[in-house]
Amino acid sequence: MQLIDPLTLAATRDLAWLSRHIAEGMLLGMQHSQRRGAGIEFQQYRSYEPGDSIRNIDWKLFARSDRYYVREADQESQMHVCVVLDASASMQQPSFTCPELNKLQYAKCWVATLCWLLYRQGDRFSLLVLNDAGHRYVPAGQGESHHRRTALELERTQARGHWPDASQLSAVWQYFEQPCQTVLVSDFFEAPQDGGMSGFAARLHAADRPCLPLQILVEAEQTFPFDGELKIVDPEGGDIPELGAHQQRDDYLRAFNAAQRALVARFAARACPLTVATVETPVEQTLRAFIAAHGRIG
Amino acid sequence: MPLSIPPLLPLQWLQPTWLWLLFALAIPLLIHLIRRSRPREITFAAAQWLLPRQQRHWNRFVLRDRLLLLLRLLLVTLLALLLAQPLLKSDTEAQENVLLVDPRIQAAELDDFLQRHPELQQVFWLQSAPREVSAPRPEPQDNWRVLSRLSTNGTFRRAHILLLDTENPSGHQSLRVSPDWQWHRIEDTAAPAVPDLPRIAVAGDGPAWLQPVMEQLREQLGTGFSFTPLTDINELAAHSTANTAQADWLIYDTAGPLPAALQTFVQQGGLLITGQGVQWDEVNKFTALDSQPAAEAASVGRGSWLRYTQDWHSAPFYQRAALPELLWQQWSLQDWHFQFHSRSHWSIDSRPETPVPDSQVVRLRKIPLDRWLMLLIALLLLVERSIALSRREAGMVHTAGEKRHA
Repeated sequence: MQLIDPLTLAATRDLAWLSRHIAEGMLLGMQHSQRRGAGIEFQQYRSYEPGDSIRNIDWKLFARSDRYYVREADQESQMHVCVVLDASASMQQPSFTCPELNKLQYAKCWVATLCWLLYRQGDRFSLLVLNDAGHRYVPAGQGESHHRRTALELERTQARGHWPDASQLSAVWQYFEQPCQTVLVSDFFEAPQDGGMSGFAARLHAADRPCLPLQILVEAEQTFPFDGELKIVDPEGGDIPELGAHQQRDDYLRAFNAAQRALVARFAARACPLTVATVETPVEQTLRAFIAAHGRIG
Repeated sequence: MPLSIPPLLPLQWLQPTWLWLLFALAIPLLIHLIRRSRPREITFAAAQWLLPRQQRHWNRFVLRDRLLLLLRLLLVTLLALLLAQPLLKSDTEAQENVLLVDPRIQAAELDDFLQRHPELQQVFWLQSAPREVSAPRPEPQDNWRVLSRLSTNGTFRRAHILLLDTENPSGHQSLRVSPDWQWHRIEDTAAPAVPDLPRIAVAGDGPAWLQPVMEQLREQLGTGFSFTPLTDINELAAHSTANTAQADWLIYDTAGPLPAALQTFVQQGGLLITGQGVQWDEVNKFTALDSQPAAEAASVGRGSWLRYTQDWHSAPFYQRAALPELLWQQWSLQDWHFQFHSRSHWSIDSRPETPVPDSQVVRLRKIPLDRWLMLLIALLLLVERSIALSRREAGMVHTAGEKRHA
């Protein structure tokens, strides 16, 4: 079921609304069963049932109503999800079938939807946007207002530059001192020599902060459907003045698939399977695939 | 013995000029080369897996969209062929029961002729493109030209030809006929044409021998001959401009400069015959005639001037045998109009014909290839358009990703 078509995805400005719409659509028919129990924030009263601890009985209410009621509060989740979004220039890559939609817009929507799901679950989430121009961070929090804040920060994000180098990344490690899970959203296009992104994921994994990767691609990158003479403009530099698409297709697909296999193998070795999504597939479908792959969230 | 190599295809062209259109084949080729040299610009983030290959120089001339190019070349070729109108050679049997009828022949006479010759089944009008006799009677054409053209036509190689037995005007080229033609004639019931003889006049006093010579000529040539003494020269010139000349040949025997009226007469196309004493300062290029009596001639305007170089009053001039015949011959040789008129007729009995050999007979039949070619062109055009449009739609996807400059 496709809730939002790519054109709407590209045209809608209000990420908070959009993500809620998609997420509620996903949750439609799902049992709304929050984990309730001990906590500070009051949630509801319910009748005492055998097996409940008598410590939880509200005695004042018993005095008034002569019935046993148990006081329940939202259980505070200990899970903290930090979403790391790659905002390098290659994320500007637009779709070739729906040119209004680019990778970054898709990633924003996906992240916002994930955050709404986390909010509905009562989990805490934070956002870290990275490129070599500097990083932006939304600290961990929960609730609808925190979701709105995150969505605002996402809307402000623009793609430029490259993935930060090691010295720029050193300022980021402080955010991962608390135990957390990391969701890394990127297209994972990195020159094989620098390997900054792989190193980042490897280091997180080594610090026992599981790094769940989502790769966002454009369909044309997987199929290379071009023909004729092309002049390639690489958003992260290195233009190619002229090449014959037909002659290059096989070589390109071979090299690209080899790189993809290597990437998948690297993440599989850390028990964090890579989810690959194209911009042309609906957000909820990608999200379901992501959740199913990890089985930890949702 | 020269070998005659048969052509590869039994094709001939009705309008071979249109084959120059084949040079238009260069147009789609050029378009493809030009279009190819401008690469499309796209944004593509996964460029690191693309290798900028060494550009080869001949790479520029490698064609893409070869199918499309082929279709377009084929279209141009077919268009050129369609306009050139190919003729497919095919053996047409020469039939013997064909009759070609002179359009001047009346219907009753034709029916009468056909009753006497029941073996003639197919009857056509004698025309460049013969049509059935049931078609409306066409305007009579120049039989000389029509027959010459039909002589190479294989279908009418053994035809019967029915002509009206009159004098037929001839053409410049020789009359070409098929040796297998069988000639028939129908007597012309109209009055026979009066032979057209030149009218002779004398201006002023002629030489003394003139009158008897003319008398002799009148006896030999008959009633068509006319000889008139002319008194008023100016009247002659006035009439000759109005093309109602009273004379074709004019004899003048007054020594001294030629009067202006006579100069006009010559320039209008008459033949002037004078003795040696006549002067005309503007005319000086004379050609000596090798016939007797000694004379010289000059062409002036549309006519000519014959001047005797010896005194025609002297006895040696007129005391010779057959003087009238000699003079008639000499004079008529100088009159081009008269010569043309008297020579350019032929009748069925005396045909100045040249037989056309079998090797020159064109056994061609126009095969209606046009319709098939047109159908083929329409089909190819449809295929070409559908391919080109589908390419363009695919190209729209590509252009969507093209880099937009702010």
